[in-house]
Amino acid sequence: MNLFKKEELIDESKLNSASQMRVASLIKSMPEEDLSLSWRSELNVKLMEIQNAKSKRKSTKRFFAFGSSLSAAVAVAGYALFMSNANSIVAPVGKIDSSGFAFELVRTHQESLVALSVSGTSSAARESAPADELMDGQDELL
Amino acid sequence: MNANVGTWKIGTRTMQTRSEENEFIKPGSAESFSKMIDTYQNRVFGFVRRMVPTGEDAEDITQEVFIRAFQSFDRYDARASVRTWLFRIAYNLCVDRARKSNRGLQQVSLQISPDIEEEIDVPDTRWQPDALLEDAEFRGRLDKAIGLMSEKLRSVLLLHDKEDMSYEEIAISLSIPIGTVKSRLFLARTQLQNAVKDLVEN
Repeated sequence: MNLFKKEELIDESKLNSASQMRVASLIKSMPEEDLSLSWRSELNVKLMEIQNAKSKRKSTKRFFAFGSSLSAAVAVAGYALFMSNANSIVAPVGKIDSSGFAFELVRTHQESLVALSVSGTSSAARESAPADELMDGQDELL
Repeated sequence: MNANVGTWKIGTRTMQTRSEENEFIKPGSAESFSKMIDTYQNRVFGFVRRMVPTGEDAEDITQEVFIRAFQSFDRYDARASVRTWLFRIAYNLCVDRARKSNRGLQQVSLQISPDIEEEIDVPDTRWQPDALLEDAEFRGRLDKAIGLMSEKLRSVLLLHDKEDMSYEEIAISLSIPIGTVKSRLFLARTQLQNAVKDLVEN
C-alpha cells in the first residue's frame, strides 16, 4: 500500500465526524500539568549562567581585541621612536647651533659617514682608527 | 487568510494570528523572554509530559527547550510563530531522548481498518469529557492509551487537540506534509477511541 496516497485520502469531513470530535474534546479536557516554582528558579539560574558565560566570552574577546590593538599601537610607537632615534644619530644638526664649532664637527662627521657608506667601507673600522692612534700616542707618552 | 486580522479559521478551530501571538516577543530582550516562559512553560511541559515516560524527564526536557530557545533568542525571527518554534524544539528533544533510550520512533501503520471506514457517525451522549475524566479508571486508561501510541501519532494528536495548533503549524513543527498531519490525527483519534470505547459504553 502506498502510505502517502493513503494519507491524502483523509479529508476534512472525516476529521470533523462526531466520533473524531468526541476524542478531540476528550483530549482538550484533559487536566493541565503545572510546573513548580522551584523548577522555574532552577531554569532562571541556568539561564543566568548561560548569560554570564556569554558576557564573559564577549568581554574576553573585547579584552583580546583591545590587547592586540594596544600591542599594535605600542609596536608602531616603538618603531616610530626607534626611527626618530636613528635619525637623531645621523642628523643631530637641528639641535646644535649652526654657527659653532660643534656644528662643523658634526657636519664633517656626517659627510664622512656618507662618503664611507657610498664607498662601502665599514664606518666602525674607520671610527676606531683614530682612537687606536690616540692610544699609541698615549703609550709613547707613558 | 489575513495575518493582520485578529483571528482566522482553520478547519473547525479559531487561531491567534502570529502578530498577536508574538506581540510580546522582542528578540534579545530578557523581559520578553521571561514573559514567553510564563506563557508557554506549562503548555510545553504538558506536551512533553505525555511524550516521555517520566515526569522527571519531562521537567528536564522542558528546561532544555527554554535553554535552547534562549541560546538562539538573539537570532529569533519575530515574524515566525513562537509556539511553532518552541514545540518544534520540544518535539526534537523528545525524539532525541527516545533515541537515546533505544526506543526510537515507532513506525506508524497508516492502514485504516474497514470497521473504522464503515462506522456509523452518530452523536453519543455517553461521551461527556468532563464527566468521564472525573473517573480515575477512565483517566488511567486514557493516559495509558496515549502512552502506548507511537510518538508520531501522539505528537500530532496532542499538538492539534490539546494545543489547538493548526495543521500548518504542526506540519512546520514536525517537518511533515499537511496530508500526513491529517492522517496521523485521524489514526490517533481512532486508536484512542477504540482503547476507551468499552469503558464509555459500559
